[in-house]
Parts: sequence; C-alpha cells; structure tokens
Amino acid sequence: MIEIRDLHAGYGDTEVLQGIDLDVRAGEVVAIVGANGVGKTTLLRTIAGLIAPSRGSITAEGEAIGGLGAHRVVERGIVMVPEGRRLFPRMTVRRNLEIGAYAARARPRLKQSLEEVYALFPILREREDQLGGTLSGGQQQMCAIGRGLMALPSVLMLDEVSLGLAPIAVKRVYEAVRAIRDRGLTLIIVEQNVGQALKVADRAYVIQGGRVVLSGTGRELTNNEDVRRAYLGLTEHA
Amino acid sequence: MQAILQLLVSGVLLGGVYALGALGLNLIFGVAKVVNFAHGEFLMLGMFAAYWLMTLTGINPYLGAPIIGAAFFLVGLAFYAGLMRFTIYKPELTQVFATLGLSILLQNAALVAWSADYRTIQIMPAGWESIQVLGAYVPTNRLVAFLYAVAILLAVLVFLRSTFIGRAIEAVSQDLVAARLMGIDPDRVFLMTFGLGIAITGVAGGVLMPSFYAFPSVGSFFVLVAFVVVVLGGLGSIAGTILGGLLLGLVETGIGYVAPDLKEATHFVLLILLLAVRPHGLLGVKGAEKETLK
Repeated sequence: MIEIRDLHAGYGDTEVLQGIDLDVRAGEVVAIVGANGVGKTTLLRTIAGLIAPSRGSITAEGEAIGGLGAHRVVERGIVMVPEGRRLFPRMTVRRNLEIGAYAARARPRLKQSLEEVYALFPILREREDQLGGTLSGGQQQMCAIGRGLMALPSVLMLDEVSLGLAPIAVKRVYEAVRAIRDRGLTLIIVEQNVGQALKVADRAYVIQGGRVVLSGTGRELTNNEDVRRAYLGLTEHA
Repeated sequence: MQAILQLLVSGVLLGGVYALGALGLNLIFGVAKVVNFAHGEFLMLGMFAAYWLMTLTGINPYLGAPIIGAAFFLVGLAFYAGLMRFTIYKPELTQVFATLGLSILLQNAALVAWSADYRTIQIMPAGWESIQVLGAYVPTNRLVAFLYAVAILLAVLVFLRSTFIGRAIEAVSQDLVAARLMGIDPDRVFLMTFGLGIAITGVAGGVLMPSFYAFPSVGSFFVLVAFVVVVLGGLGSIAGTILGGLLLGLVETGIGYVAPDLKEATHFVLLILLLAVRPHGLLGVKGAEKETLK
C-alpha cells in the first residue's frame, strides 16, 4: 500500500529523517514509536505532503506521492489526523466534520459519512452545534478523528492521539481506533504512549535519530528487552 | 430630538459605507495575514473605474457595480498571481514593502494618466439629492451606497458559510495546516481571497464615487479609515468589520456635530486607544494582531 525507501526530510537545513525504509500493507495497523524528537511526526508530515522529501521516495499503490503537496495526497486517500487535534476553533463540530469531506473524492458521500461518524462517536452528534474550541480534549480528539474519516481515507495516519488526554479519554479514543481497524482501514499510528500503540498494532517500527532501528510485530516488540527498558519503562520481571 | 435622529441616520449611513470600504482589507488579512497597504489605491481605482464607466458609456456605477466587481475580481487575481504569491510565506516586512511599493506605483500611475484633478459624477436627478424620512435628511447617494454595503456584506457572509470554497477560505483563516490536511489547496484559497477582496474594494470605490471626489491620492484618506474600522471591529472578523464601521460612523458624526474641528482626529484617537487597550478589536480573536502564516 505504502512503500517508503531511503526517505530524507526535514525543516530548512536540519535533516530530521535520515534514510527511513518502511512498508505499510493494506488493512494493517502499523505503529511508529520512539522517544520525543526522533522524527515520528516529521515522517507523518512528509507522507501527508506537508513537507517535501529531500531524498528518497514515497509510493502509494505504485504511484510516487513524495512532494506532491498535502491536498493531492488527501485526494489519493491518505489522510492525517494531526497532533494537537487542530480543530477549526471557531467552527461548529458539524462544520469541522463537513470540511473534512472537502476532497472531491469525499464530497458526494458527505451525508452518509457524517452519519457514520456520528454512529462511531455519538457524543459528536450531541455537540454538533458547539464550537470546536469549546470541546473537552477527548471530544476534540474524537472530532479530529471523525473529521479525518470524513475524507474517506484508505490510509488514516494518527499523530499522538492520546497526548494530553485523561486516562479515561485515552481508553475511549483507543476503543474507536480498534473499531476503525476492524472495518479494515489501514492505520499508521504515531505514539509516545508505546504500550498503548503496540497493543493495537499488527507491526511496529522503532525510530531513533531519524532512522528505523528495530521493527517487528507488536507482540515481538512488546517482548523485546531493549524496547521494554527504553520505551515501556518495564523491568524484566514486570 | 430631531438632531439626534439626524445624527443617528447620518452616522449609520456613513458607517455602512466605512464597513464596505474596509471589508476587502479585513478579508485578505484574515485569510492570508497580509496587511494590504495598497488597499486605498484599489478603492481609488474603483472610484476612477466608476467615473470612466459613467463618462465613456453612460452607465452609472449603481447599475454598473457588477461590471466593476467582475473587473476588479480579475485585478485581484492578477494582484495575487503577479505579486503577492511571491511574498506569501515570507516575513511580514516583505509583504509590507510589496504592498506599499504597489501603493506608490498605483498612485503615481493614476497621477500620470488622469492628472491630479478632482472628479465627480452626478447621478441623482435634480431634486432627488436627498429625501426626508421622519423629518431626517437622507442623502440618496449615501443611502444607495449603504444599501450596497448591506447587500454585499450579507452576500459575503452567505458565500463563506454555504459554499465549499467559502468554507475553505474560512478554514485557512483559522488553521492553515489543518486546512491543508483536509485537502484544501491554500494557493487556490489565497487566489480566490484576493480576487474577492479586491472585487469588494472596487465595488466599494464605485458606489462611493457619487458622494466623494476622486483623485489619485484619495486612497490615503480611505485606507486610514479602513485600518481604524478593522482594528476597532476586530482583525479577521467580518461581523467585527460591520460593527467597527457603524461605530466609527456614529462616533465621527457625533463628534463632528459637537466639535467639527475634531472630526478627523477621532480616527487617530480611536486607533491609538484601541491599539493600546484592545489590539485584537471588539470582536476579533485574541492574538490575531500577531498572527502570521505558519
């Protein structure tokens, strides 16, 4: 579905990604984990088209998408839910969701998609006339995921969906992520909450210094001693 | 009592006109975070467009406003595609100098082309220059301009709320990155915003023409008013622009009645007070005065 080869990208003269190789197959949930500042978000932003790669390639179903520009990437069904939610603060929940279907591929199904999102997150229907900026963190996150779904993605990228949320909200959000996975949507999840991400992921990549240092199934990495020590904060006996 | 009614009528009429004159400036600022220092010159060009349309073809600007609007929409597209596109993600100073340079260029080009003469056009037939409403004197030129202002402000609000491109404009003004992630092409949105903003400004100049004199540097008066309206009502807020225009119109008319000498000073005093006390304006978003494209 998505193939990334020797990807280099960054901001200005700072190269954050230093040769990433990564594959995402259709229907898979892939987690990208690692400490703060290793390039996880940069990787998603580059796939999403917000950043142009300085070297290497990104292909989606055989078509090169690196450097196409975000609006063209969305039209190919690759959609990113950004870190920090980034709802349009002075639009209602409903408007936020509707603008999610801006892409030409999503517009004709707008009404149907909206019903599906409301079915997944009933709280959003209750709050549909409230301004985005007035929702609680967990509700904002649900609205942001719902807005991403409105674009009818074939690949949905979630950037730090649990960041800054109360434990109960994290639980709700991840229930939704599982529900989305069970519909067969391909997911790429970036998380600092490594335990949470590995539990839901089929496979995972560990990134360090802008490179992939380890990859495997969620279970393999959960049991990997280095990962446990470095990212899960678990000891051998835990 | 009669005097107060008269002041209210005059103030509201003037305020509507001020709001219309400032709308294009605020729209472009709200979306692209560009302060267009050539705004006054586009108003001036709108006035001259109305003048020449009337002089050469006999079409008066009240009927010809759609023609002026269409022409200035194209002018706005050219303004973005030919100049502002290259400055859009650059530091603010680049945009200040680009628009200020354009302002000087347009003013002097107008001076060369049309000389410094004051020009005006007469539309309302003799005896219809004003009407009486409840004993208040209502100049018909101002009344028509006011009705245009209301119609255009409403049309813009409806356009932004109910069309996909309008919502895209709104989305970009609130969060550029999130808008891009929704599949919105920001370049297209900026292009449309400049087209729309300059079209409104051209029409504003056109319908103001019969109540003001046109001359090449007339823009520098209007741009000051437009800045006060925008800062007063709120940066990036269309509802704020309407409120700001009405407030300024009322305050200016009221002060003009009590102390005519101080009429012009109200602009400066209001601007300074606001910038000191509430720089994002009455209805603006807090921090809007510091916003740039990220």
